[in-house]
Amino acid sequence: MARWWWGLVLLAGVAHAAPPAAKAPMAVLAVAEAPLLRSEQRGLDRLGKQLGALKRPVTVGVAEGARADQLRAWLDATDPAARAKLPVAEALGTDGLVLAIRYAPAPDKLAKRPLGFVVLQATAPHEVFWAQGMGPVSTAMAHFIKILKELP
Amino acid sequence: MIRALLVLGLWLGVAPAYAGDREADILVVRLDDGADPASKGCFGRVRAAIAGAYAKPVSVTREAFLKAAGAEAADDFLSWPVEKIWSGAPKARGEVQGWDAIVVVDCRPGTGRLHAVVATSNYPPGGSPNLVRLVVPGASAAAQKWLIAQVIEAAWLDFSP
Repeated sequence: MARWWWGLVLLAGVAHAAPPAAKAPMAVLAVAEAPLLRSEQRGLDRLGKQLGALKRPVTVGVAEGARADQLRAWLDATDPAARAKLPVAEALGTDGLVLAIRYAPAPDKLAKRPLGFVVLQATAPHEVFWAQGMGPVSTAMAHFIKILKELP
Repeated sequence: MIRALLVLGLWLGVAPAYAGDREADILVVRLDDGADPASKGCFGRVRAAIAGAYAKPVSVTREAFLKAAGAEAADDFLSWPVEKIWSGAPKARGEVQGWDAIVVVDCRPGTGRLHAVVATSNYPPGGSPNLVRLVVPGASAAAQKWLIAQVIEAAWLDFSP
């Protein structure tokens, strides 16, 4: 009888267990002064697919308007203290997490490496990663994803 | 058994050599102030990773680097232009013809501060020298590993033997 009772308690617990909290969506955005080269677009799409490992909705696109302006400000500022004071609402939009990659203007149509990237989250401190002079590299991707997985 | 070990040793020791092939000469600078006891280990991991990436790391002290760069403090080194980073490098000596890259690391896991700057030499000549600035707030092992992987990739940018 006691065994039945404990079994029922266990079943009830499983049935009422809260589902895992849904992860906020993530936007992977290009910040570019010119239309993306096909190679850049492919790189961006590949990155979006790799970030599927985060088990959260991931969209890939190009930042425009006020959102692009705010992301440019984050990418340009080299002082972390100054960046911490920058507005972030437009940069985040409706996404909980944003990865913005800045691409160089390439009038000669030669593919160039990214000029930098930033990852921003909705909760302060907003900055998760920041880099100038390069993009996220494939050899660091596992650690990159591991850190992002821990974010809400 | 001994013969097999000898053959294996010979096979491992005789790596193919190519004309112009050489390790990258990388100057590494530990820029934290020493207050965080975890800084030494963090910097040691960066240096060891560089040494394991077909490169010869050579260290210079924080004081010597700041003095040569004409800087009184290091707090704003992320904002330094590439010329100022290079001005902190001592003249290469001995077998080293010149530095291929300078890696400056301010790693303080205790306060969640992981900053690095990587300046690479100017190749092709006449081009603009490359400068990479990296920031990852956090003290986790993953954050340190991420920084190390990005630093190594950055140090090899534009490398030419």
